[in-house]
Amino acid sequence: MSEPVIQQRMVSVAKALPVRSYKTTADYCAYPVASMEAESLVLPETLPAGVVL
Amino acid sequence: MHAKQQLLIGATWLPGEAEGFVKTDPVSHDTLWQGGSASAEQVGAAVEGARGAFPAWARTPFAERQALVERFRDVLDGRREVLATAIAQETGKPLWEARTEVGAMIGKVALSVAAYHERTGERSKDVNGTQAVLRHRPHGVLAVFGPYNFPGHLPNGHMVPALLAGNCVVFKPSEQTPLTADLTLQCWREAGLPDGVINLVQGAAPVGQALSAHPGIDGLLFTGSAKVGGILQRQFADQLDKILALELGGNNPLVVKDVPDERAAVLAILQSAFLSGGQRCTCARRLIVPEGPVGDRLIEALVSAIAKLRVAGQFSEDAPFYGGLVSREAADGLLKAQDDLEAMGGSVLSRMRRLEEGTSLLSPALVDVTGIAVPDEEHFGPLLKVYRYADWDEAIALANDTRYGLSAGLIGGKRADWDDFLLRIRAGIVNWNRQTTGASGDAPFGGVGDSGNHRPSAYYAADYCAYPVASMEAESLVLPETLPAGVVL
Repeated sequence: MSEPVIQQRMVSVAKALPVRSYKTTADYCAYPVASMEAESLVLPETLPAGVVL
Repeated sequence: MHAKQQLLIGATWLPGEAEGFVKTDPVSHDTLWQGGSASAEQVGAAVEGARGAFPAWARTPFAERQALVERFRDVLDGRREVLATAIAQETGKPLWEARTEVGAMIGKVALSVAAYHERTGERSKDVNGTQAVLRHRPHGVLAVFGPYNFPGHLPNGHMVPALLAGNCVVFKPSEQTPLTADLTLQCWREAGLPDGVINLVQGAAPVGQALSAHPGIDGLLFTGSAKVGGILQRQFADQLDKILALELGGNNPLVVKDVPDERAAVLAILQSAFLSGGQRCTCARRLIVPEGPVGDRLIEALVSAIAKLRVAGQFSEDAPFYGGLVSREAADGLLKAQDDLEAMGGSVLSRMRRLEEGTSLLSPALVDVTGIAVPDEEHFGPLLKVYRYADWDEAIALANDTRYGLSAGLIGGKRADWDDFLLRIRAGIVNWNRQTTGASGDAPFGGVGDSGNHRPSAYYAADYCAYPVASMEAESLVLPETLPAGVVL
């Protein structure tokens, strides 16, 4: 299985308008949306403390 | 380093003159802090002290302010264990997690220095011999109201940017976490922050009311409940001269589209709903799952994992996933919320129980409330509601059926589903195939709806700690070659 693509995005989303760089968007015309996103859901090699699956 | 159990007003630690209060460990019952609350006069003295310190602090070159804040970071680094222990004792969170909170406080300094320059730095350009300059100036005295769930990291996320920008601070921590605030302020003093630049007033609502109503503050930075945030918003509505930044709660949805890996999905749900015992504002409160066998199997696996999830005291040798809630009263409230949902017709799939009498240790709850009109409230603990849906549009409608809009998550789905989710969901933190908790400190942190007042924190905290000043400036005043129409000199 290939490595999952994990990327962190930070864009201001003006709904129904093209996505723009957060640095150039007028502040009160959009709100920021921060995302952690991965194409696939993968179990990490070690589980967090206290979790048994 | 020991608790002073006092207030810090200007250069002086003083006993609070108003009603006394006590903070105990919600699991061990040890007394952690006891002292007097600040009186209204003492709150006033703290504001006056900050006001007095402001001109010199604002004039201090940025590099010197940065050096002091970095010295604070180094003091924290040397006090990691005592701070982590205090945070674990006060909040009920496991020691391993409290250590990560101190790490976040240390990491906040470099992030805030970068954000200061990127968001509020200085820039200039030449316009026909005149300099057009943009600078940012500090507001003055900022009141910082801290929450109890991250008593170190979250107020630190307001105070570090506020101080870097040149503001003075009066800090009112949650009355449930006076010890962490006491120790943190001692670190600031040890770093050599000048007298009056940072002040500490301890106590509950009367202290907050005295501080928020004081005419000497220039702004208020609040992290806490939507209820108190709403009261502050109304109180500040006719005070255009003050800046108000509100970081409030959420009733956050986690939508399951499909389940490519059942164990990974279960882990993402546990991490979203039950990390810190559900005492994070980004925690998922509503799990939205498809009807049918795929959803049924996921719920079964989740119930089984919940039964095996380890919940124990903060300092247990066999480290727990989460520990206690902040107080026994908070635990009582969560148990009542479960009872209320059941009385409304909810079906309890995993029952929340108090694990040890007299403590705030609770096992997680999973309650199916499909088709039941339940209140749109944030239950700040290990309680996850389940909603089953028939089709994708219904899932999105359910997810957005809240007055809040802080975080949201999607599990499974293809890129096109994610793009659709991202476009239609109303939230400021939106994740795909990742837990909803654990927001990155170098991104903005905030939401829409009742989750705040559109002043995102973290990377954007610099924005509300300073105001822009635009200047056109020239060393000399020169008569232009041609006079304007109608002017004769």
